[in-house]
Amino acid sequence: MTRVLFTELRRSAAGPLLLLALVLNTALLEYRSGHWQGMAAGVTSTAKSNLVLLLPLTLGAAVWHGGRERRAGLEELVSTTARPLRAQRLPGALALLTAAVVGVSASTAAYVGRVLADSGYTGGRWPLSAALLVLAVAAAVAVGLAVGRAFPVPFAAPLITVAGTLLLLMTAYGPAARLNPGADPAQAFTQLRLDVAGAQAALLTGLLVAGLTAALASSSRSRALALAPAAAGIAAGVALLPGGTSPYEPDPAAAAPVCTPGEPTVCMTTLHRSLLPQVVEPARATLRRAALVPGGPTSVVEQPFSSITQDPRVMVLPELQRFELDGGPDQVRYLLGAWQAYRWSGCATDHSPTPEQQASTDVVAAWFAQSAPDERAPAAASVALSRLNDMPEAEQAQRITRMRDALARCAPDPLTVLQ
Amino acid sequence: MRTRTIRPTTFEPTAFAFAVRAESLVVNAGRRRAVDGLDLALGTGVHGLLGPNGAGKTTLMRALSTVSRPGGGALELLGVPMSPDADLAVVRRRLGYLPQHFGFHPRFTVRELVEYFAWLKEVPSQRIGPAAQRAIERVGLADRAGDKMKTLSGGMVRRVGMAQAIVNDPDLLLLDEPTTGLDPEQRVSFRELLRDLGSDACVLVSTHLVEDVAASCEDVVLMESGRSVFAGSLDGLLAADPGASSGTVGDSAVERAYTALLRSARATGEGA
Repeated sequence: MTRVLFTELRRSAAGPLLLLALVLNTALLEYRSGHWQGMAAGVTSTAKSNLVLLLPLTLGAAVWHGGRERRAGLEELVSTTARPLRAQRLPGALALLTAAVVGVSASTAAYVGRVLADSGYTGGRWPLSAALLVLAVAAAVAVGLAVGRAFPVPFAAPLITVAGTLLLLMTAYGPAARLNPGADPAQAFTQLRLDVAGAQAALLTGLLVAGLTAALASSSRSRALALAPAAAGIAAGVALLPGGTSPYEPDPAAAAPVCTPGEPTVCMTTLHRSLLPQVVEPARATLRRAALVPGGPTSVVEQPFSSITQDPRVMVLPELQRFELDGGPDQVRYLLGAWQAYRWSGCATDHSPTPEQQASTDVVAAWFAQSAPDERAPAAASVALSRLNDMPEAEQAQRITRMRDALARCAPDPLTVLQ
Repeated sequence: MRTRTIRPTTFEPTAFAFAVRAESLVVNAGRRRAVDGLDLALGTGVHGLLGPNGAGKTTLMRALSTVSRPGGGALELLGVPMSPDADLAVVRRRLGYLPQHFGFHPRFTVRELVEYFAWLKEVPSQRIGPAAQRAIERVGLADRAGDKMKTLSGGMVRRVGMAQAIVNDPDLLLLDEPTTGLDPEQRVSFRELLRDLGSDACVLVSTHLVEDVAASCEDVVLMESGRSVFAGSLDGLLAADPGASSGTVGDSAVERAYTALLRSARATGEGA
């Protein structure tokens, strides 16, 4: 069978499908790199969400292949040969399955490998997402082959491709997204729920078994029997589906802190622990500056989901994005400083800040970072900072403390504390 | 020089007298009874199957190739009765068939397609390559073996169809309109191949081209309305119409005999 399998890989829809899956998945992973950088689970989750495009195309290729024999007028001749019908169809089905699975797996594995090489985060149940990814494309091939055999007309493939795309897009949001293997990818610090994974696995396995049974069936009775695993898969999928609308849940392991051994302590989440070497020096420089502020923070902690802390001794670094490190230590210092303006209050996020509040925020950030205000900062910020820096150091710390308090109270013009 | 293929089965005693044996065979094509009480006994050699359009030739070929089941009577292929519980694989391994319309995968090369059929016919895997090469050479396509099917002319496609039919060295070879699309030179080569194949297999050629039958067949079955109106040697066909050698209808003696026999059958209601 190996000889025929290789012929099918070269000459059937398998070759174009392999190329399509490789190129499209790679291009989409590259384009959506913000979703996955530093996270193996992010790669597999993003690849899984790429199925919104990949699954319908895989389905279409399989439908095309499934109807090939009848379209070519080969059915009668092939039926006079000794090899059983199921065995006759196996190499073609295996070729398509191999092409689709290798196409998405190889491209996804390359990016997972890159994350592992960069000592990225390897939790978040990435093997589970990867398994569902493979299962989904295999099920699409099997169902496509069965549909192609049942409807061997030339327009079946484009029709099914369009219908599949519409179905996946329509179920990408809301409660149905929990069963949609191509739903939006997981955000950082979240992971696929186990019960959702179980429901998707049941659905996809049912479709895979049903598709293969129907595609390889030699009688109409066998084809009818193939409806049973499909129905069982759908029923099990729905039964296992939990409440709620999101297929994801928080990933505590990703959020767990990883801290430097020395003082002052700088902690990053496990997800971003590989960024610690880049963060630790600018963070400690900011803490040295903060030591001038009475009761100021003594440690830096990256904290996902929220920038609010009840502990004034902790300088919160909200969830860090990798691109924020592109500007080097200065940018990290400024970022940390900027968050010192939002220490207690949601003032600036509840209302549009006044120009004075915006300028005050930039003054606080620049003072902590020991730098000039951001180039987008209002001109008033530079003037105010210059006035602040002209004061004695102890006075600077006192005025900054008052300015932070004014910002926390949502005072309309915190710059007045410098007068 | 003609060569004969020597295979182990050549020296094995056959368990059957005729490769094809039919008694009162009935085969339906849809609701129509296309073969109606046909008696037939074909052994080793090349046999021609003649008849006008709608005589039931293709339906008979489909029954002999195990595509369709007999609707009545008895049919035995290579010694295996075609009963509802018959093991068709036993017959199919030793069967070669070229249907009237030979479909193909256009992206396959000639060699790949013939190898694919060798695999379908359960030729042992180590023999598939050599068997395909030999079949391709026998139909004169060795120089096009690496070409994709979609690049071939109609005549070449027909020859590939012939190659797939003989790739398993069949004991029963069924060819439905095999010379369609062949040029005169190719038809001459094809007739030589037929004679070679008929030396140790039963070859049944269904055709409209009486001259192909005259050139390569040892005997002839003439069908009309689902029945046999003549079965015998070529000489017997000519003898069946004493005026065949001097008549004016048709271009050759065989054509004249064929026409006369058909008209006679229709006049007497035989085969109707």
